[in-house]
Amino acid sequence: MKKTISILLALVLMVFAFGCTAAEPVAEPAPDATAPDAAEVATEAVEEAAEATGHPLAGKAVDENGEPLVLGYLSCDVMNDWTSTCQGISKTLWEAAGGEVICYVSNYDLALEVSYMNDLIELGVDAIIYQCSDSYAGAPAVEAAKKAGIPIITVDMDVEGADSDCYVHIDQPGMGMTCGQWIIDNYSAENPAKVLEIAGLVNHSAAVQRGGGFHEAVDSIDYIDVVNTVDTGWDPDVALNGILDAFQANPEINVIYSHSDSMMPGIIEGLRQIGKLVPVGEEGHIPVLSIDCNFTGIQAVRDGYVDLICEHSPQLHATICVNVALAAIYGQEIPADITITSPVVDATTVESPDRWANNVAGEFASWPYVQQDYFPIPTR
Amino acid sequence: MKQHSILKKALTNFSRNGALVILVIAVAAFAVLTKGKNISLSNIVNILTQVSSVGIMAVGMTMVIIDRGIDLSVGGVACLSVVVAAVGMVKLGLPWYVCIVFMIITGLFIGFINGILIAKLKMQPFICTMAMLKTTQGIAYYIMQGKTLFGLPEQWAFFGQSKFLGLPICVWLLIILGFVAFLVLKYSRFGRELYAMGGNPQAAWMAGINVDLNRIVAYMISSFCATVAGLIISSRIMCAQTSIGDGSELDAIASAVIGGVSMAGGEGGVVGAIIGAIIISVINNGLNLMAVSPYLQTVIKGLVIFFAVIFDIIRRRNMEQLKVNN
Repeated sequence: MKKTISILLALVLMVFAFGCTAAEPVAEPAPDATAPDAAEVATEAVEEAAEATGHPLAGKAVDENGEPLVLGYLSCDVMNDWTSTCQGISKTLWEAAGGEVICYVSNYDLALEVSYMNDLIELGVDAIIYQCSDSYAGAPAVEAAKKAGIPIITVDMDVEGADSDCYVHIDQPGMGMTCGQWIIDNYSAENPAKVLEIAGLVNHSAAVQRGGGFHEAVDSIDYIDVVNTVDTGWDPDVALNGILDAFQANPEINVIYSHSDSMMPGIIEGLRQIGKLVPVGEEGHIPVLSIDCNFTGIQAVRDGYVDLICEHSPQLHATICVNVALAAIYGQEIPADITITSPVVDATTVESPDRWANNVAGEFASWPYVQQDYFPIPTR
Repeated sequence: MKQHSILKKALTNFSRNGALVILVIAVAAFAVLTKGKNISLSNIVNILTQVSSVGIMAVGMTMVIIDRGIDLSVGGVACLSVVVAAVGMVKLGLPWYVCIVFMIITGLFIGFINGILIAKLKMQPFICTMAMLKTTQGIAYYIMQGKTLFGLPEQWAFFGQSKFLGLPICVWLLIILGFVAFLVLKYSRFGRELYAMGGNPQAAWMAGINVDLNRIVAYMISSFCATVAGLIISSRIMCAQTSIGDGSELDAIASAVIGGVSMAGGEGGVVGAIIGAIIISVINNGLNLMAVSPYLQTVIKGLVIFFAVIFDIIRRRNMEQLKVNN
């Protein structure tokens, strides 16, 4: 009996399947000579939308049929200001352009990252922005996207062993060198520098490059001595303990170089707890140099405790990536590499509206659109 | 014969106070290597300050491990409770003391959920608390959206930065919580029942001990301690970040195990766990004072924990042997 029912059910399913696929051909209507071309209609709609909203990207992420273009955003994590802002701005800009965004976060799970890439490919996204968790492990994901013919833009971290369509990044070693050069210029043989380096996560490429650039600048200078390097894992609490321990061992430390403003709360509180938090220009001030210029960093510059920060703007990265993704979808030529030069932020430039950290209090949709010369807004 | 009995007595004391011996060896070794910098008064206060948050977590973890359980959610509890308090203070403008109450309620509630799932639904503690860790971290990440929350009121700094009689408040919190936990485990009915449950759960149940209730209370205590640890960390850095408590569950477990708390249950105490936390801090501090490469620091810490556990195994075998001989 059970067998009979199963066979009957299978037959019914086959009938339904056949019925759904065998649709009667519908006669196409004769072309109307007076009707406007569909592509022209869509383009006009795009232009009208651009005028209506005033957003520079309005209507850009819409295809010729008026359907939204889909952007896939695959990130290693969104647990810090930088990564969350880069993803948030990319999503906001793409949606302002009329498109849709699918975001995945791998949380540094490399196998999951490849899986998510395959999922994006299956979903048929039109372009992918990819911030990988590991330079070498990201190669299979990039290869998969390229094989599927989907433009892929890597941001912030390069992928070894596979070439994305465009790699958008800042000069990480250059930022370390800039901080090193500041120390070279402000110290001398008569006033040698005893440097405490507050490092990020030791095996993270950003920490390796920022540290590498810094040491390349200062290691050959006799009057600069890096007395201690504290590995913090980007954790401000660990940075605080590192400050306390390092000054315990080396009370003569007179300058601090931090790989990131992520650790700034720990650095500021650590200096405060040992009575060495003195504003710039006052007796006993210990210069602090840092990278990123997030909200903590910019506030510390504003408060007068930090001398210099090399800005690493996720807003700028996201703006460029979106423009490049649109150009790639339009079939235009895009560069293989876009290297961003880091502006230096100090007390004179801290209030500039170009500072991404000056926007963090508001929702991403309220952030002003960044004007930049690295890659223009593409036109169809 | 006299020499043999002296040796036996020394071995007995050594076996009973393994963690203390390891601590003394570590302090002495780093005193030589750092030319005495690690035993300066200011550095000792520095170490105790650093140990306060992990030590308090280890106190709570001890309760759970004695009952043959484990609580991997402490890092997530610390993070989420801090986020709740920070949002209350910064976004909603609530007074800091009200936010502390909310913090504690959050922590106790999470501990209660853990306890119910493990005691009543018989979930494996490892799986249950790991799932809770992911859940609490995820909620914290969702609320914070990857951002850091600043603008905590200056009174918040009291817990992590103020001093009383020369000792930081956070150290006093460790001492008070540790002392209370010691009294509870040693002299209270709950403490005795917890050891019985860890030693032989079946016999404990048959003896009429309310195993489920005690288990729930143990997990609530663990979460409470994690909340206090989160308070100290956020007070020290005066902000709320989703990295607070990240990975601290492993430090808390390592502290307890190094301090002689047996993963098999029924053995160990909070004093040992606190000493275990101090050992880890002494090593961290000593390596930082020596400016050891961060690449090597991770290796050294792993090896120290490795050898501390081996030492503990040997110590227990000695104890067993001594019991048999006696």
